[in-house]
Amino acid sequence: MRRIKIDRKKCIGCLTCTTACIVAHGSKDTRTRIALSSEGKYAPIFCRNCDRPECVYACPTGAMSKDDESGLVVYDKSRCAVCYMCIMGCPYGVLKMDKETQSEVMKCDMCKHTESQYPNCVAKCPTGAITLEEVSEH
Amino acid sequence: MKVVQSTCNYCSLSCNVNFHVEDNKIKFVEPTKGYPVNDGFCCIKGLNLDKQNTKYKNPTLPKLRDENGVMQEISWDEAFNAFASKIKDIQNKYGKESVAFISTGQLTTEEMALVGHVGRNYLGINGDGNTRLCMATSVVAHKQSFGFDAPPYTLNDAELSDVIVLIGANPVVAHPILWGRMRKNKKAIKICIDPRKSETAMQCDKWYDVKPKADIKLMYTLANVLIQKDWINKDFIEKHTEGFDEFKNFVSKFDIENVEKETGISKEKVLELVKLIHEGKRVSLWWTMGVNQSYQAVRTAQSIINIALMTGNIGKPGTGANSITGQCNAMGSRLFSNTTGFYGGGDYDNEARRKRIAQVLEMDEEMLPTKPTIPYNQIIDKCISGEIKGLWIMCTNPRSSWINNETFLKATKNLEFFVVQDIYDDTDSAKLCHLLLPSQSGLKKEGFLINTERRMSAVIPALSKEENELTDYDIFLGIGKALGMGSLLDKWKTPKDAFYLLRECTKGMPCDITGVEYDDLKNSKGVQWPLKAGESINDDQRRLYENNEFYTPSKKAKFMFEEPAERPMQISEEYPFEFNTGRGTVGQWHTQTRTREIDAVEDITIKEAYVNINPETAEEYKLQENDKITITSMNGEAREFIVKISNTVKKNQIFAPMHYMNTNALLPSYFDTYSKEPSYKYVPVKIQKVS
Repeated sequence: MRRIKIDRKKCIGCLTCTTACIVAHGSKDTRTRIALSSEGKYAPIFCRNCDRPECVYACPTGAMSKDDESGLVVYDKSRCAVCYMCIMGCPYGVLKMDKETQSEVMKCDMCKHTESQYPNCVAKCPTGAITLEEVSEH
Repeated sequence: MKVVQSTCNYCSLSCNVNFHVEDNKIKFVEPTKGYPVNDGFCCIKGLNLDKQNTKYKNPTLPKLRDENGVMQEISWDEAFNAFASKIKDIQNKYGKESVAFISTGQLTTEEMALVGHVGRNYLGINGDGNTRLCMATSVVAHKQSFGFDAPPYTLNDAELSDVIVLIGANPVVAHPILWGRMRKNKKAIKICIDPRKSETAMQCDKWYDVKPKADIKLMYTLANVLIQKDWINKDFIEKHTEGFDEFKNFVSKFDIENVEKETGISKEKVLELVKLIHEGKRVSLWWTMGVNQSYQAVRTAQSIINIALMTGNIGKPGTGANSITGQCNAMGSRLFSNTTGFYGGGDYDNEARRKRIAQVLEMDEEMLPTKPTIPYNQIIDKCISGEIKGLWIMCTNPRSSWINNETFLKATKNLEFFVVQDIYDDTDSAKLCHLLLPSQSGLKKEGFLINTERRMSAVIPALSKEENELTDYDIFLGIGKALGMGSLLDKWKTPKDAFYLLRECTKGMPCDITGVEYDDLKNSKGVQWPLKAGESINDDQRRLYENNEFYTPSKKAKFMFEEPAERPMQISEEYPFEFNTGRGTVGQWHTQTRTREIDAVEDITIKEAYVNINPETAEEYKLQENDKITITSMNGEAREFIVKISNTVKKNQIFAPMHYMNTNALLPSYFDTYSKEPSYKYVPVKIQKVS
């Protein structure tokens, strides 16, 4: 599967990834973000599409599921009960509800809906701090 | 849902964004697809324009400081009358020029034109802009070299070059949309000349780590080697330039054998750079604040222009000596603020222009200014000396942004009347004022901005004004009326009126826009000046000088040069570090008054002033990451900073983001001889660990 890989050392906190995410989804919210670590360094936080996804395990309705073919964790809003279990379960704290309606989980979909079908954050990152890499599942 | 296409009013790219509006609320913002500057993308600042005045609201009514020093809310009429009576009193008592204003590159063009009309034409006062802090150098360089403040390029040139040379520019952080376009140009060799391994230097193919302020010597050496190797465009030089022989003689002393000692760059690397420029078929050279903000800035900018001229890299696709502007409407301010020259250009002593402007404005010629404003630094000096008693600033925060910023505080202490006009009442400057005039943000304005490539674009109100809410334009009109300008405001009733006045003023000038209609700017791709009456736009990317004619009387470009100056302050045993400043992150804008409203930016913004220091320095001073140090500057000020250890600065260098009051406090009051732009990029300092 392909996963977004982060090289914190290259991150300059430009928030181009955040911008790209919002623009690609035509929304108000980002599905990724950057935080400051306790040492004051930029720490990009992206969905890892975990091999053992806590969000999927925690989801009671099947709205979060692991796609066997692509390896991605897929979110189906129509099945979501807005119970916040996935948000609480995510060990990276990456999942959030949308700010305005609090009814849709802001889950990275690797920009599959866009023309390029390629993560816009990766395409736009000016420093190569985030890259899309093939990883073997284990 | 209503969709409003408008222009981002942060940086000089002036991207277009679409506001999706429902019930006078912005639901979301999207970058405008198909707009030539940013085509469907923008940076984090533009995407969050809807946040203006959401976390930090501004009062809708003005405030006047009472005798107990407390700010009291008053009506707009009371504020206008208080302004008018106090300003008139001061002028009657101390003379006309005892009052001054400081404007900005962030107003709309119509607004800066109107304040120029009220302040300069009617009150007869001095008034400069904060554009003096960023673009004055390029203005003077262009005027002297090209005959008019007319930057040659269109942004598309960044995508057409095969060699891109960036000098004192960090577009990855300061102009990310421009960098996006340079990055898209995979074929170009990208070169960065900067003392610091900036975010841009890291992304370029080549980084030339020039010593601070040695860029002019490097450019003169490059010129000399290009001449010696006969890698110059003799035909272009002969037909379209002046002063080359003198320039050739002058640069002959910039020997390649001395270049490492003078600039820190080895002979081999300089020869490599010369070769890259020579082999490039379409070379563009781009500069910004690293060049502009210096004690010898104009000549440094011109040393870059000279390289473009001698190699014929101007007026053709992918070329140019290209000054990247700072603020969204710095270019509007340069042409239409009535501060250093007439609307549309032309000096105040130009008789033909005086007649034309008086005719267009329907004013007595006698009322027009007879001389350019005194520059920003002299306005501050005169406040300190007591010659200026009334100061009116708008849309700017000099308590933080002015060089040697304690001098601004000193200046305000001597004022009898200090007026701040801003969208916030809590800026470092607003806190000091006697009268606060709260204006509305660009979200409620109409007018136009001119971006770095001379593109005019429309600012359209996304939100309607509510009761008592006034834009800067409304406030200027209110002040004008209270001052008794009467019929002198008849032709300025709306921004659209102002646009047509300005348009008329440009007739026959290099920036002639008589072919542009106000309403045509709406929902458009913008219009780059010039566009004369009867002309139509065939291309959305238009550059200047394609006919090889410049705006000098001879129509030839001029080689301008002079002896490199000594640094006004030298590093010493006591002050061993070279202190440099620049933009911190993409999300931080100037003194952060606006960008503090953006959560994504605030989440990663370091709240206290910080500096980058080299790991070896950290070891020598026993400093750990996030330790505190006191930095003492040769200007006599000392401030505390957080330490961030970084290989991007050399051992004897310190870099400080400019967004913090502590940073600008350390910089000394040195200015370029010709542009009077402050020298923000260099001062010797010493450091001490805070125990």
